Parts: sequence; structure tokens; C-alpha cells
Amino acid sequence: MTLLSCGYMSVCFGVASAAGAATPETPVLTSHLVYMLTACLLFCIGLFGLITRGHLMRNVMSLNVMGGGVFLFLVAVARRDAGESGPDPVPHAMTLTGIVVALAASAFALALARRIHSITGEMRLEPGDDNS
Amino acid sequence: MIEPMAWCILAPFIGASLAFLLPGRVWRRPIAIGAIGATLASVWMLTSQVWNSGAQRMDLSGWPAPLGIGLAADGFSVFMIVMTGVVGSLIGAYALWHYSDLSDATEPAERRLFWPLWLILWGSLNAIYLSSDIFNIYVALEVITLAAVALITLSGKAEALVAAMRYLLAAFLGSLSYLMGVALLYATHGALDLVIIADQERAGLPEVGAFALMATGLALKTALFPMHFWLPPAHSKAAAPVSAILSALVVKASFYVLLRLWFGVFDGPAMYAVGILLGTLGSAAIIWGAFQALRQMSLKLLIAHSTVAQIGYLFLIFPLTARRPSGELAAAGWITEACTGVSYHALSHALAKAAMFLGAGVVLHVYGSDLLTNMRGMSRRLPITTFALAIAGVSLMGLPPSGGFAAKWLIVTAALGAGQWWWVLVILIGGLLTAGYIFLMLRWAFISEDAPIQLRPANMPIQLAALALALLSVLVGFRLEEPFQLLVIGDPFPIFDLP
Amino acid sequence: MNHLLTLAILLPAIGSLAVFSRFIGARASGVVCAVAAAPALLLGLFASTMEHDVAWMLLGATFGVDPVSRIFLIFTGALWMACGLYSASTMRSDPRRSAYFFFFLLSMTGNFGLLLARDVGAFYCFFALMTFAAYGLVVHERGAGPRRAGRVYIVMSILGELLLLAGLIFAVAAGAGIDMADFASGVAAAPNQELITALLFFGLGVKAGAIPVHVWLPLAHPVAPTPASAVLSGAMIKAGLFGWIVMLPLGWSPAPAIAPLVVTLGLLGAFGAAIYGALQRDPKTILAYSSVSQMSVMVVAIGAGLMAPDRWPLILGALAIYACSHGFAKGALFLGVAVAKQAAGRDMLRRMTMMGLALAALTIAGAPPLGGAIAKKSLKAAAAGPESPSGDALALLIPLTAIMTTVVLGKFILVMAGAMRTNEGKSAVRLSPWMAAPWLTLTLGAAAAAWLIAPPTEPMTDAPQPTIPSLSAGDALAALWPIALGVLVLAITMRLARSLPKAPAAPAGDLLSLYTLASRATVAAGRRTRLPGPARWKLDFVPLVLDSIEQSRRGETLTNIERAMKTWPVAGAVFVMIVITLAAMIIL
Repeated sequence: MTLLSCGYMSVCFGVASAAGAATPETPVLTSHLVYMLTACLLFCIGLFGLITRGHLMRNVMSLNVMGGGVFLFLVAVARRDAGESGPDPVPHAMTLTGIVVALAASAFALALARRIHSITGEMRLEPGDDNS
Repeated sequence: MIEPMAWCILAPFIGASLAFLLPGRVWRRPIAIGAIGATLASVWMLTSQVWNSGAQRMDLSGWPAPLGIGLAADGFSVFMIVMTGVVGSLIGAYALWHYSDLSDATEPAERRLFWPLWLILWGSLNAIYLSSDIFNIYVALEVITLAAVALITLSGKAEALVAAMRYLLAAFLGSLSYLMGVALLYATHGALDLVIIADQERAGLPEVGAFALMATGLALKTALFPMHFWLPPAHSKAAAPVSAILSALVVKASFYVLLRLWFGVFDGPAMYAVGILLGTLGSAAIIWGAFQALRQMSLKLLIAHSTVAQIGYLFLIFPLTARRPSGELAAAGWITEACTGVSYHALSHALAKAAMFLGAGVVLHVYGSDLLTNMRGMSRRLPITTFALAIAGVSLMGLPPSGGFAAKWLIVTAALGAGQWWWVLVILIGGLLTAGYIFLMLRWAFISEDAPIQLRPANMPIQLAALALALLSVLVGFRLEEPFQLLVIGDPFPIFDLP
Repeated sequence: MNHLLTLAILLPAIGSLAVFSRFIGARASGVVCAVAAAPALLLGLFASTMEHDVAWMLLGATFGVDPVSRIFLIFTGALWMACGLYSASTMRSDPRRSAYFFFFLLSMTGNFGLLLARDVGAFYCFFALMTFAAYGLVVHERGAGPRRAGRVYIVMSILGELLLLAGLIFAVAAGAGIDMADFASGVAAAPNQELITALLFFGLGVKAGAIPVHVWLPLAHPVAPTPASAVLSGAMIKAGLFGWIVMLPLGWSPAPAIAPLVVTLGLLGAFGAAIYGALQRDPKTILAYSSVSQMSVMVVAIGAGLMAPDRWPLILGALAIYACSHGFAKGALFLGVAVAKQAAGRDMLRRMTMMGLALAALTIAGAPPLGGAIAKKSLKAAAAGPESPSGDALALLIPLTAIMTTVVLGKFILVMAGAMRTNEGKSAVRLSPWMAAPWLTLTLGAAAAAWLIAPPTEPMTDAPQPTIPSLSAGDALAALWPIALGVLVLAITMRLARSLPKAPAAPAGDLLSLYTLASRATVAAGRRTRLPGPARWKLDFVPLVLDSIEQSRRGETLTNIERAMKTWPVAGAVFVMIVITLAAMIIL
């Protein structure tokens, strides 16, 4: 069911971003549109991995794949909006900031996962989790 | 030139840096008190500025939007900042005594790192309330998540670590979902500033995706049922002041962002069905959370599940401010009641919940466990804490005269005015269930103990901090005029204008 | 005068904190209570009609005095003052004295606040404050009895608060506004007038001791410390009556569906409670049942007002005087219980005490020329209209209730006399003037009140106005025969009872046992198990509810669902589904 939902969501996304990207004067399929669809696909793959995998390492990696999807999308937007003075700088700035945040978050998550592993001997959430 | 808006964010950040660089025992108290004082002074200046001369806006470093980042303060943001300031400084007062005089119970890392993390968290909360830039809000949300998760891990126990990890994953999922929404919004509007986006025309399909992603992400971070799974373990396994911060303040930040987007970016009131759906999930939260709270055997878990329930009330604002498909406002004439009522609920819940978690902290310290069955004889041993728990319970139940009552009264009148009487039913049942778990909790406190047990003494300041918060949660129900005047400054809920 | 209004609410509130000071001993606390009650009493005695807006409070509150609330202020203020001074003596050796005075003054704040409130928001808040502060008075004497009484009290009170709140919310939503002056007419104009009336009647009825929501009262009033019992039964119980008077659509429109029910419940209570009370053995429980019975007479009057709006001004005037008279007398009787204990030592004092008690009892029974007779006569005259069947019933009923009142209060006098005989010579305590003076004042007040206080009139309307009644010889005779008959009935019953074997006492709380059984049966049926054996048919239904909650912890379904929601795949799927649902809902 999760797989199905993810697939569905990916289609939704693709349509949504395509509609957002397509302006009357540009052809329907351009290079940035390919990037955008790829970005959405990456986001969904990451989401799928995060949901279905129990290993903490994989969870952190999935989150990074999702983040990668978002960043790719932003870069594609920058390219789409490129004017004479080059690509739009704001999405680039966002991407850079986002990467810094993602790096910090991943580092923290990994450190936390290691602590959990050293205390419980597991790299999962469920076993050490008591009933609440 | 002193910019109170900037200082509301900077003062805690500077305090955090100092607290991190000078971790010695000698420095802790002066730095903490100084940071609290400086932040409160900035909050006070900002409040008087907004109160006297209306909503404020500034562009950081003089760069105007769309390129620069804007800060904006209207009545609603100041309301939230004042709430954070009052609750935060009282929790801080508790923490000062919790982490120094009771030091034998806590690990060095916990004592060293609490203040830097909490001050960073405080600064980021203020940043969210003041930010007018949706990407900046994302960054602040992430910093809040990191600081909050780090605070949970401070206690160092395995279950706290696991709870923190679950919270971290859930919160990142929410943040990334929000960020994808930001990207979609930028792709369609070419701007990040709330005001600029609000002024542009609505853009159809991509905005639908953006709204769905952002709303769900933020609802996940606010722990709206059925995405509340991370909250009870995270809030109950942390140390008492951390639990209080998380339950009273942190969940309100993402809700605030959702509310801003609902009114400012997405023209939420036009989405009647979505409003009803969010209200239904909120109602489900009220009932489900209360039922779960009734079933808990430990005090902190009970309070955490109560937070799940109380968050539900906040989401009743969405159906009450929505327009019917025919176009007219569902609650025309009652919008002010709905918005102020929900804001007031956020405030009184913050005060009452912080009081309860701090009270639970005292119980945990004195009795060594927070099992309800161990609380026998508490009314004699800890009269102040018992009184604080009971008073905070009065506000949570919504009994008059208390802040909780004022809030529920406003929401109920708005719901009846809107003809959506079913929310009233939910609120009444929710109130009864709340009364149920509060009595279940206090019942043990009033049973006299069978055998004498070895207890640790509790110092007076931490008990008084809990009592002060509890009393405040009741007293805010007495004086509503100024808060209401404050809330409408700068028209934060734009449909106030409409007839 | 505005300052007096502010002081009437503020002084008790400040006093409630002041009693925690170590410089204020028992006697000083009593004086604090008396001083705190003084502004309200002065307002009742001297204030003219006025209103005063307090914009900062709640959603803008209004306070004021009108002719009806003046009468309530007089006896409420006098009772709080007398009982405060009285507490100075009885609480002297109590280690938890500060807590007692704290709750005492907080309840006082609530009581005065609700009498002075001129908008429903303020009324409700002060009403709730009084209700919950009085809990502290009920459970003040620790032990199983007060604990159980406190549990029943709090459950019934919350039920009452919820009904009242529901009624208020419906009324406000129907456009009644929150201003007290227009509220009753607004309720009368509301489409769901009968529903609102019923909700308000039962919500306030919990406090007023209306059948069948009175069950907490015979448990709670006796277990409180004596002066607290006196204010509970004399003053606070009237808060419910006051709420009815100001909020029900009395005098505006008839409520044909609910009025007969109200009258029936009143009749049931007036007789049933008196009979049940006469079966009790504890003097304070007897008094509590007498209160239920007396309040039920007032319920009948309310019912008559709901049936015949045009007679309401007359009924209102009589009702206010009746309430005032009963307030003084019931306060005096409760205080007399403890006075009698101390007075048992000396013959002189004993006789005086018995005379005082008899005087107060006769006032309630309505013996001329005491004030109670006036109250009864005017109530009878007000209700008995030319074309009002309920009024005729009331006119017929009042002499009959007087018989029952005589029986129940006669039983009280007998019990007291017996107690004093057994205590004779044992008590070496000197009768404290702090106890004797307030008690005497209330007794005399009870005898005189109805003579001295003019009924409220409304000069603006052309409805029949209450006049100051007088007592003729015929009236006196009409008032005396029920009392004589009552004494005869009591004498015969006592004679018979002596020859019969001693029966077990009827448990206080009458219908409560029924409710308990019903809730037990419901829970049991819900659990598909057999009803628990008779050995466990105790009267507590609160623990029962709590127990059933605790037992439902064993049920695993909810826990399992919660646990399942916590696993990542489920949580993630929920997340994805909500995203898709939201998107779909906007598009479609």
C-alpha cells in the first residue's frame, strides 16, 4: 500500500511541477523539466526508503535522498528562470543553505544513531522502545 | 539604533554562545539570568513598539525582499513571542534550580548543555514568529528540531535516545516536506516573502501540491492526530524542564507557521473541505488523546497524551474560518471569536502544560518515579506542587474562571455562530474526558500512604515556578481586553476585514 | 457606592490570601471574614439600584445591585459575617485553620460576586468559583465521610456546571446576549426556549438542591465544619435560586412543557425530603433534608412563575422574602448545633439555647407572629391567582408543607434535646461569646427579617405589585393549625416508634443509592458480567467509574492501535495519505 501511495504521489508531483514549470511560451518538455521530474522522483524514492526501512543508517540516507531531490528541484528552477545575467541566484542560495542544514542534521542524526547502537546494541527504533 | 525585533532573536543567540563558550559552574547563573533578562527586555520593547505604533517590518541589512530577508511583527507574532517569553523564563527559573541545587541527580553534560541549547531554541522560536520569509522559517524550524532533539538526549537514557531519534526522523520528514513546498511556491511565485506571495494571484495546481506538502509536514511537526506517534515518548522521556519547553512552546511554532500560510499564502478560507478535514482530525485528536491519557499509569506519559488532545483544539480554527462552497464565511460575525479563542487556547495551554510538566518534575525528583500509584500522600508532602497540578488541571478542563475557559467559551460561541454545532459536542466530551484524567491523576495524590517511604526533599524555587505558571494559566482568564486588542494589531487574520 | 461594589468582591478575595499570614490568628481571621462581608451587607441595606461596568474583566463584566439582589445581599452578607465571627471560636485549635479560612473567603468572594454580577459571564465565573471553593469546606474535616461527600459533591457540581454552561451557550447563541437585564427576555424569545429553561433549571438546581439532583446535599452539608454548613445551607444554596430568578424566562413567557415538571419535582421534594429527613438521626443531616424540603417549596413557586408569567412579580416578591427568612433561620439552626454542645453544661444556658432553636424552627414552620408567617402568607397570596391551577395547588400546599416542616424540625429539636441531656454536666467549656453572639443575631434576624424587609417592586410595569403584607387573626389561626397538627403527628410517630423494634437508619443521600445501582448495572451490562453481589452495593459511584476506567486499561485494543501507529511504515503511510487527501480535496 505504501508503495502504491508513493507511486501515486510521485505522479501527482510530476503533474504539479510540470504545470508549474510550463509557461505558454516554452515547449512542454525542456531540460529543466526533466530535472524537475527527476527531483520529484528522488524525493519520492527517499520517502519510500524512509518509510519502509527500519535501519537507522538507511533512514538517515533516505532523508538525504529526499533532501537531494528538493535541492535538484531548486537548481532546476534557477535554470528555468535564468535571465541574461545568468541563473536566478536565490534558489542557489537556498540550496547552499539547505545543504548546510542537511549536513548538520545528518551528522547529528548519525551521532545519535551511534549512541543508540552503543547503548542498546541495535540500529533500530523498535526493540528499545517501550510501550507508551 | 536598537531594533527590538532583531534583538528578540539575537539576545538568546548571544546568550547561547556565551553559555557554550563559558561552561563553568560559576558562569552558568549570571549568563542564564543575563540572557533571560536581555531577551525579556527586547520582548518588552517590541511589545510596546507594536502596541503603540502598530505592526512593524524591517529588512535585514537593508536588503529589501524579494532578495533580502524580511522580519515582520504584528499582534499575533507579538502574542506568541510574549507567551514564549513568559513561559520560557519561568521554565528557565525552574531549570536554574533544577540543574544546580539538584546536581547530584544530573550528569555533567546535561548541566553544561541545557542552557546553550535552550537559548538557541528560544531564539529560533522568536525567529519563526518574526520571520516573513518562508525559507527563513524552514531554517528556523530545522534549528528548533535540532535543539529540541538534543535537549531530549541530554538525560542520556536509552529510552530517551530512542524517543529522540524517532522525533528527529519525524521532524525531518516534516521539514523536508515543508521545504519541497517552499521550492514549489518559489517555482510559481518567484518570491519567498509572505507578503509578496500573498499579493500575487493564486497559481492553481503547483500550489495545491505545495499546500498539501507544507500542511502535512507542519501538522506532523505539531503532532496532529494521527501523526502524533512521536510526541508521547519524546515529551515524557525528557527531563522535566525540557518536557515543559517541548509541550508548551515547540509544538506551537509549527502550528503558527501553518496558520500564517493558511491565511497569508494559500487563501485557506476558500478551502472549506480542507478546513473540515483538519477540524475533524483535531476532534479525533481531542478524543483519542484524552482516551490515551486516561489509560496511562505514569504521570509524564499522561501529561504528554494530554498534549496530543489539547493540540486538537488548535485545529478547530480551520473549519471556523473557512468559507462555505457558496462563498460566504461559515462563521461570519464570529471570526474574531474563533481566532482569538484559538490563540488564547495556545496561551493557556502553554502555561498550564508547562506547570504540569514542571510539577511532574518535582514529583519525579522527590519520589524517584512518576508512577501514579507512587504518588500516595503527595497532597501532604508536596502541597504546593499538588495545588499547582490541580490549578493547571482546572485550566486544562476549561473550568471557569481560567484561561482555558475563556478560550473554550470563545471557540464554542464561534462554532455555534457558524452553525457547526458538532465541534461543541467534541469540546464538551473532551472537557469531560480531561476532567477524568485530571481526577485520575489527583486521586492518588490525596490517598494517604500505607508505609513510610524514603523521599528526597524538594527545594522551594522549583515548586514555586510550577505554581506561578499554574496560577498564570488561571489568571489570564480574568483579563482579556489587552490580549485581544494586541491580537488584532496589523490584521494578522486577514478575513477580519470581511463582513 | 461604586467603591463599595468593588470592595464587596475585592475584600474577600484579598482576605483569602491574608489569612495565610502568620500574624493573623484564628480570632483575627474571623474578624477578617466579618470585615470582608461588611460591604456586601451594607450594599444590601443601603444601596440604591445601580450598575457599574468593569471593562477589563473577562469579556467586559458588569456589576450592580437591583431590588431583588439587595434582599439576597442582606441575608447572604449577614450569614457570612455571622459565620465568619463564629469560625473564629470553633477554628481556634484547628491546625489547618488557614486552609479553612482561605476556602471560606474564596467561597464568599464567589457568592457575593454572583449576586452582584449583572452579566451572565461574570455570574457563571463567580458561581463556579464558589462551587469549587466550597469543595475545600466540605472536605475540611478529613476522614471517610467527608471524602465521600466531597467526591459526590464534585461530580454533581461538575454535572451542574456543564448543564448550566450548555444552557448559557445555547441562550447566547440564540441571541439572548450576556447582559443580565435582557437575558431572561432573550431566553423567552429563543426558539429552543424550553430546552434552555430545562438546562438552566437543572444546572442551577444542583446548587439549589432541587430533586433529583440534590443527592450531594444531605451528604455534604452535615460533614462540613458547623459554620461552613450554615453558609452552605443558608447562603450558598440560595445562589441557585438567585440564578433561576435572574436567568429563567420568568414573567416573560410561559414554559408549558417544563413548568409542570418543575412543579411536580418541587412537590415531591417538599414532602419527600421532609419525611426522609425525619427518619435521620444526625441533627445536621436532618437540617440538610429540611433545607431540601424548603428549597423544593421555592421550586414550586418557580414552577408557578413558569406557568403564569403575569403573576411572577407577586411571586418574586414573596419568594425573595421567603428565601431571606429561611436563610437566616437555617443559619441560626446550624450554628445552634454547636452552641448547644457547649451550653449543655448549665441549666440556664441549656434552656435558653433550646428556646432559641425552637424560635428559629418555628420561623421556618411559619408560626405567627414570626417572620416566616409573613413569608408564607405572601407566597400563598401571590400564587393563588383566579385562573391559575398551579397557584391553587401552591395555596393548598403551603399549609401542608408546614405540617411536614414541623415534623422534621420537631425531630431535630428532639434529637438536640436528647443530645443535651446525655451531655448534661459533661461539658466544662464556657460558652464563647464569639459563638453565642452571631447565633443570637441570626435567630433574631430570622424572626424579624420578613417584617423589616420590603419586597422588591418594579415601578415601571403595570403588573400587580407585591405589597407589604400584614397578619390578621385569621391568618394567624390559619398558620397555627398545621403546626399543631405537625406536633401531633410527630408525637404519635415517636410514641409508635418507641414501641417498635429499632429500625436501621435510612442512609443519607437517598436517591444516590439508586443512581449507584443504576450506574453499576449499566457498567455491568456493558461488561456483560453479572451484577456484583449485595455485599458490594456501597453507595459510591465515582470510584465505580474510576474503577471501570482502570479495568478498561486491561483492554488491549486501544493500546495496540496506538502502538501500531508508532511503527514507521504505518506512520509514513498515514503521512502520505494525508498529503494525497489534502491535495485531492482541493482539486476536487
